[in-house]
Amino acid sequence: MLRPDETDLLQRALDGDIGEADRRRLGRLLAESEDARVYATALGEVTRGLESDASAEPSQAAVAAIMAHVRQQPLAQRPGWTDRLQGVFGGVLRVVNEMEGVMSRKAKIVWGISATAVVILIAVWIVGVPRVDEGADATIGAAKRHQAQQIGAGDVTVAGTEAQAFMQSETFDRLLKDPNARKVLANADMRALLADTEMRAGLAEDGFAAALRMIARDAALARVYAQEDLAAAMGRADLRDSLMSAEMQAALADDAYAAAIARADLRDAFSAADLQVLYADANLMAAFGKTAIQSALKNGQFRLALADMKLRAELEAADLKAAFNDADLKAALARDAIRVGLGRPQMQAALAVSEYRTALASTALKSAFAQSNARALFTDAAMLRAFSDAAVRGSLTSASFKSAMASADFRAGVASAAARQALSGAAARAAMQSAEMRALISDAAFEAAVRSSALQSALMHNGFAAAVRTTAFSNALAAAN
Amino acid sequence: MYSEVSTEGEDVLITRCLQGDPDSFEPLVVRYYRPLFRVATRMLDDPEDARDATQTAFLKAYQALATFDRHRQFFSWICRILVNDCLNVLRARRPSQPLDDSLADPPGDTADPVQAGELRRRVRQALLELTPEQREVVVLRHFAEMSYEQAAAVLGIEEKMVKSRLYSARQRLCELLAAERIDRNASTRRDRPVTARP
Repeated sequence: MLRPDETDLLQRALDGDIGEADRRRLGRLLAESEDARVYATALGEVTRGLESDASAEPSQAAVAAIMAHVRQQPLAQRPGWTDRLQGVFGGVLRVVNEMEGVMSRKAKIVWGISATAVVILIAVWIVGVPRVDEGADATIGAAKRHQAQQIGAGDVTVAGTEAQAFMQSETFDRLLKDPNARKVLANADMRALLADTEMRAGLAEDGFAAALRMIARDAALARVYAQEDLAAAMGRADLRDSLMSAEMQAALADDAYAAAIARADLRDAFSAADLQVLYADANLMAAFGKTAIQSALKNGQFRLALADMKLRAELEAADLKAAFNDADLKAALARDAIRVGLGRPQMQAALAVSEYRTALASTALKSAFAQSNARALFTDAAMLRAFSDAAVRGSLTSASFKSAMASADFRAGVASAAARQALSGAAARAAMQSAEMRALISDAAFEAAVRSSALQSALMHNGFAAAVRTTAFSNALAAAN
Repeated sequence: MYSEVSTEGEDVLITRCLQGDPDSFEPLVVRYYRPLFRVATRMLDDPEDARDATQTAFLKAYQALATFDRHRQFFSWICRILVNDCLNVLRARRPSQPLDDSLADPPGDTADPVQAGELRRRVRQALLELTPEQREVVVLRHFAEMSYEQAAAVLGIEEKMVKSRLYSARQRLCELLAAERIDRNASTRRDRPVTARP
């Protein structure tokens, strides 16, 4: 009878998954054990039966049939910014709830979060961000945790006459009394995010705002939509798209529709799918749920950057999402200097280039982000100017540069004030465009030169720095290599 | 087989598709039809179902191309779509559906083609007795010739889980083949004409 470790060894041997010591052990086992030999023979037979099979060749007809279907069907679009906005809301709300220690009732909370998010979206769009006494909130002790103070109607800034109907609705009443909503709205990050002008402008865009307005205008309809299951259904892209259509908006204005949607069976039909669409993007959600990102959101410039439509579009890119999920990058984002850098137009322009994002996601650059001198490099004004140059971005994405960045000495050298000033010059940027320059960067001798005190001193000299920035110098450099 | 698949230029093709050029998807279909069809054939044991599943996987992948994570291998991604579809088909079927005789055995390269064909038939029959989870890992490892790591990426499970499922699947196949051999021998003895002893 074979022991489990012996059958494991024979199985691993079949896959070539053994080292030299295992090979010797296998030899001994096969020599000494009849059971092992029988088992090895049986495994060999199974493997021969599995692997001596013929290949299926693609027929032209099969490929043509697939391509005929492909040409007829539209590509699914990436989730729009409203999806991501809801994702952000969901992430922030989830963090708030985690802090409150209520995640043990996970499923219920997820539904509740969605309902609250929809209600808050409506409320924020219509009436602005309610003012909540932060001081009072801070003094609520553990003993008073469940004695939820209510948001007073006077704490709300009324933005327009159409808000009146909504303010008289049960939905709004529920929002005012809901301790969860109150805590969410009292959260400084959330309020800062919602109060952001750009974010508000985004909320008012296109059919999204039209649909919200339509729901909010009718108290009965608002009450129906505030129900948890329907609120969850609103997170579904297909339902949201339908809400934005002219036909659906016309339907929403019809009393009969409100009556129909109040029926439980119809609501069930709407909410049949779970929240996968709303939370479909696990990577982005995870990133927004992290403390470092939350901290970054407090920064006004970072929020402005987020509110920028172009950057929001870039946030959809998978490679950037992966970069945002990286531990080193998250640690970097927690630093003020990096956040300020991200908020600058040059950095946003750089982020819009896919090669730059690829570079950001590379192991070498992520490692570099963890180093203080490299962080300084990425936030320096001169370097940011350089980042906006296509040639520099091109060189940043080269394998040789990434390799060079992995060296602490090289990073220290490049991060020096003099080197940064030199690199920001047009001639240096032009030189970086050349293959020779990129090869040079990865050369050990160049690395030694960059970190040498002599070169540092020379670069500090205005005349030398000026010379480095000339076309003649870069031409000479290229010729020398 | 998987290792033979070149991923060069895939990113460019996908980008062109996303920019509205559906014809750029064709090289991907040509490149991956064979390994995917082979996986589907061994998962489903029915060439027609396999053809449908392969086509569906390509169409689903094309539709969802905008959500494809460029850090992943396109083949791993589409293979996962295919395997999930195959598992759905298997779950909808009754267990141990009879082997489809239309899967003709082409000549192999073993010394005795008759014996090799017979072994393949027996192993394929035994494959049907495995659980869907065991079958998918055997198919990916042996028919698609993926490494543990690649199979783990396709199935969305850990490598050690791939190994564990693979080992138990092969153990089960050994047992099934042994049992089948015993049955066959007993049947042969029963059918042998009784001759009078001298």
